[in-house]
Amino acid sequence: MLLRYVIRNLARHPLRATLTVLTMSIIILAFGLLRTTVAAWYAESLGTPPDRLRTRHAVSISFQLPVTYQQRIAIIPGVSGVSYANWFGGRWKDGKAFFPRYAVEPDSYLELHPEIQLPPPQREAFLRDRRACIVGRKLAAKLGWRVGDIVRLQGSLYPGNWEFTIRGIYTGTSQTTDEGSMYLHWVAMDERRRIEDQARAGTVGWFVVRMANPEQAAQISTTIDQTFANSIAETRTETEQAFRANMATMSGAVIRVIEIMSVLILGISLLVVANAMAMTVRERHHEYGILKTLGFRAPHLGFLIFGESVCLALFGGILGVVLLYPASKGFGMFLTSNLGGFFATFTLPAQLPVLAVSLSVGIGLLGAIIPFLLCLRSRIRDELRHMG
Amino acid sequence: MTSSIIDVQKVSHSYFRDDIEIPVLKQLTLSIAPESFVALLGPSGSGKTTILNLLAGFDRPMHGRVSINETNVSRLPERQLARWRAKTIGFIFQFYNLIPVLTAAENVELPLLLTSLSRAQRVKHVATALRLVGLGDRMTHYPRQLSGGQEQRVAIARAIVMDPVILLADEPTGNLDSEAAEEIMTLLQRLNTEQGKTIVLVTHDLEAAQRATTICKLQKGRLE
Repeated sequence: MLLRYVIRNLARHPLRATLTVLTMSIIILAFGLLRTTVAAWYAESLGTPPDRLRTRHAVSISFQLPVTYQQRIAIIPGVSGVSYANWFGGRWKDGKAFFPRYAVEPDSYLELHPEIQLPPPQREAFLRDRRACIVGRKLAAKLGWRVGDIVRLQGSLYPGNWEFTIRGIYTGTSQTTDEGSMYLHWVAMDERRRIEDQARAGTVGWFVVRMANPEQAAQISTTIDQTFANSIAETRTETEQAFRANMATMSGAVIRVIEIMSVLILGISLLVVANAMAMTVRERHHEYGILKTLGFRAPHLGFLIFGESVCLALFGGILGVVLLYPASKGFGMFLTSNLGGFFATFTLPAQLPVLAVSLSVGIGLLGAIIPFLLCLRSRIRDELRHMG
Repeated sequence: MTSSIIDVQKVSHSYFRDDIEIPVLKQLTLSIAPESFVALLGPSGSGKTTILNLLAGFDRPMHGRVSINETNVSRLPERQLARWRAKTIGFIFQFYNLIPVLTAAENVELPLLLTSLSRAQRVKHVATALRLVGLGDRMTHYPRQLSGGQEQRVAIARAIVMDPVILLADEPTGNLDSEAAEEIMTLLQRLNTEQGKTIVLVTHDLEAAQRATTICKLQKGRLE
């Protein structure tokens, strides 16, 4: 019967209860979207195969390495393949549609990245044509590109006007594979550099190294870096997972802020529930006094107060989680189409609904603590003050 | 040993407002025999509600001793006090104090939730108590669907459902019209004579007090 009492209490102030539930649901929705954003930020690094290393300049990724390192890396024991890539930069049209552009050695790059899937004829066409490029499925869909279209870029890192023919539209093998990038021939870029920017000709941004045995990652990384120690361009080698995670962390101040915000809004939700419960307990202090005279003690009063608080928070949490599914879909579409370079995928983490509901229960419990203590501390005599 | 069920010995009590002591009871001694119906009559501020608070254990006297059924109420720890109170005393308030979201039967059932009675047993007890106060047909009604007199009768049913030996009634007719007040006082008399309940009635209404077997007049914290 006490449970019935709790449920009926919830309906005593329909407006307040509704507003509290809605506030809670919006907070849980916001929390869920923020956590999904953080998860999406790191998703690509988690989905990276463990058998790949990245070798970059020891000082910074913005420094270039000689392309000739490729042969020396390839002969290191345990290395089963090497490719290289470079940021291309550039701007498409007015620059509002941002998407990552990489200049790669296509044959080896595609071989080392089996997650990039191209139909064989498109792959052949791309490999044959130095002025060709391939684009991800999501990018092509967003910009309305089809195979055979010409993409005109205005150079930024490498000045001038550039034209590439789309020879293929790739898809990813998993949800975490980036389908929002463009790949072009490194050699096409380098040919022009040899004429216009000789200082940077023959250099690459990083090498992608495939290992025969991922367990040798530490040893192979050390050997690569030792090979180029004391050279003009020393290297730093790490697993691709670590590389991507570092990149995410380096540019992750915003993500850190998002993480902090997600915790802060939970604090706000706690205050909302605590405030609602404090009002409730204050209004019913006389009623709690009656219950005390009937012999009700802390566990019974606790059941009533915590029960109501948890129900409010839980209903809000469940509603928030229900809203989270369509909202994350819409938000994800927006992010991946506008910030595809940062968010290859935007999927609700599997454990998030459970986490959100658990947090709602926790918030309900925490929010009721102070009102409950106030109720306990209050004396029957004061609660029944109007007697006599 | 004493033959009284309520024994108040030389009790003094004060309240403090802004560090100013306001004496309410002064060396008050009162003995109430079992199955008696005692009215404490007095004007506002005479200390009658304070006596009820002390009898119920809501407050502890600054000096003196309050014993009920040979239990020194003033010394019972809070936890035991709640259990003792639930078993020994039934309360009837001026404003009925029913829980508005519970039906008449659910209100009456509240004290029984603290017992080990089964649901069926509780329902039986509730029906008996409500029938006793003449509201057997109003079990599913909410307080807002009842008249003031009916609400007070539900409150009386709630007070007696645990079969306590003592009923403390604080101005039980103070909020009722004369007809309903008459009904309530008749009901209390019946509970006293037929059920053997010891009733302590606090009132400033002489007419209501005259229904009791004993009237104790309180004036400025002392019995006259």
